[in-house]
Amino acid sequence: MLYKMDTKVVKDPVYTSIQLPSDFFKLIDDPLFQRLRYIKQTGLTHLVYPGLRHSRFEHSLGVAHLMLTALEAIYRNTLHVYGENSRAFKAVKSLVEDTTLWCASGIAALLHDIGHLAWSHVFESALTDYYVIAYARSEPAILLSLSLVSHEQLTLRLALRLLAKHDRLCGVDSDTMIERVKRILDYAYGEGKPGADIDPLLIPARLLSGTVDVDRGDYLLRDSRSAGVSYGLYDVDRLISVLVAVEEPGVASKRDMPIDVGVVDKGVSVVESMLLGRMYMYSEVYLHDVVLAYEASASRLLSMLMYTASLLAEEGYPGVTGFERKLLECMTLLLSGVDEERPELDECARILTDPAIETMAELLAFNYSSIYNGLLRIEQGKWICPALYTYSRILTARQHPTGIYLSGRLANTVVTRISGPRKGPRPQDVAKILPTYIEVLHESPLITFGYTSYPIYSKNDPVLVLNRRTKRVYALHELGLSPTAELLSNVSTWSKIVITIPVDTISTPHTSLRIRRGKFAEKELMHNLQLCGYSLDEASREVAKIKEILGELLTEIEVTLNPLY
Amino acid sequence: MCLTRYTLGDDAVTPMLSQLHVVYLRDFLLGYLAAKGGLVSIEELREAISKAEEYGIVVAAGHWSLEDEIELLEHMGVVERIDGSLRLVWEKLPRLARKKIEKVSHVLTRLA
Repeated sequence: MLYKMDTKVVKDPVYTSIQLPSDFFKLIDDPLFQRLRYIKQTGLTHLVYPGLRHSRFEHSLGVAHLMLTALEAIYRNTLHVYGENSRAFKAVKSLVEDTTLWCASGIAALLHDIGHLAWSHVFESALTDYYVIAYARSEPAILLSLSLVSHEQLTLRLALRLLAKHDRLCGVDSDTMIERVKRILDYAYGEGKPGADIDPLLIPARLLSGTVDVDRGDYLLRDSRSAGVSYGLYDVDRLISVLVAVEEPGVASKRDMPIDVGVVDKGVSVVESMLLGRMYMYSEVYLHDVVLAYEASASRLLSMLMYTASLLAEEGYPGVTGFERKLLECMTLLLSGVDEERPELDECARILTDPAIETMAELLAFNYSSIYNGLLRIEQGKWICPALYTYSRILTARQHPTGIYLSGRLANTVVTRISGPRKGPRPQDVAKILPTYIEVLHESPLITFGYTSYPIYSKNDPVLVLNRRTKRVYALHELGLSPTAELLSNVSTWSKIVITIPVDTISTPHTSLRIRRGKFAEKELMHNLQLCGYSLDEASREVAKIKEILGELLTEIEVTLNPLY
Repeated sequence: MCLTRYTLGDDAVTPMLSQLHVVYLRDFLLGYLAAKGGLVSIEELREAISKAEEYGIVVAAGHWSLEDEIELLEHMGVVERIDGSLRLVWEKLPRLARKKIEKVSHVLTRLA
């Protein structure tokens, strides 16, 4: 299809050249898309792997490129295996030969991350943290100020807004394009369910969010290169060349879908290599102990800024001026989900990216921020202030806090109890499993608790393998030819829990938990507390209280782990 | 974007896709309750979410379900569950939240 269209080429370190339809650049050149240049792909991992500074911008171009390349390979392989009269090939044919559907697939890939905010996934964990704090302090005003829970919601909002700006894309009107792109995003990330008939748009949706998808396909390679590690490197050309549309996937995957994306049987090794690469990238890079300590700190800094924004908004942002006032206003505007007619929405989406938040952190760390003036005028200011000082200094001086870690099966036990099958936790579940943490938060925002789970291999969403001779579809782990998948399928996810604390003189008798001492010194915390108006005695009492409540929290986690209690 | 996005004439509603409203689930829930006078059955709420798109409203839920939201709002005392219905506790809403919910309920009036 690409050969029929007017195209442009962008140079890229992973694929050398990325060729995309010229019409895509109407979207790429829009400020709403350009803002992705200012959001680092991997949040704060650059604080441990200095080269990891590439942005969501080049990743999005890479995903669009892989999507269009993958569709061509799927066209060839599906025709070769099933023949031109098959239902699978007819679906792929309509997708690849219909400019609208083909373009919509590429555009959905291009825009799949447009809703990301500063520090990527760290912003989302900050939203969760915000709701847990609102719950802990029983403040409906705080809870209701914001209503965003994940970047996918904002992706839908901004993608539709961006598409609506253009009367025609790829030769069709914007309404048609919006309907197609929305359907793909709905199938991929939302509640969209296909009917009994084959919808060709299921194919790009599965290419965006399946087990072997173009999103992971791009970020594993790109992140490995930037980090200077080889864990995530795999043969992307080989992977693309073995993709195929499969008929009746439900037999192997137990998913109620009329069509899916899989690989032909000669592609087993490359898929194994990608699955292992993903596992190692999570354990060694994305969830590195020190990365997690920084991300927990950044998440708390952001959640406290949101908290401050919500409180000060009620009072009209007293004492807060200029850039900082705009940033707080943007937090309430963009994350609350109304006022779509206001042009500030675009501005705010551009402001809530890494440079603004990083500048804000510098101002807070050096006591130049007018937000402190605002805090002086509200009752909760003294509670919030030490957290803003401490976490901004941790990030800007690169002095991570001490972390207490739990990983592997034991962490899986706690995480499963908190979140069940959900993607993210709900405050009420945290309260049920770790009531002490809710009490801790009520007392002080200086201790963070966070967890993360990463996928190993899901039997509920397996890699599908098509036997070219019999045309039967198998799940990779049941094929009998993939020892790696059989091993991986014994564990669907792996979890890691991190608790950070800005004091360095702690000891714990808790045998399951591992301490990694940080660089942030306790005397710095004492200094910060005094800057926030605490007397020396009050500051000492605050530090002692933090250590005491930490001990209670750790005991509670051990009790959660031990069924004999 | 303008707030009116329906073809005038008979009851048939034809939203212009380029003028869709994206509303986050929590705001939809509270806005719909407000638009319906503060009391609505959970079943009706569920149905309203499923047909919202016909009226030019996209409900973006993220990874939270309707039940997740109801549980949380109930705990915060913002809604009350009465048998199979929900009641909005208006007096528990802070000033800015009220303003926001009023705006959303205005968008949802046609649906309600």
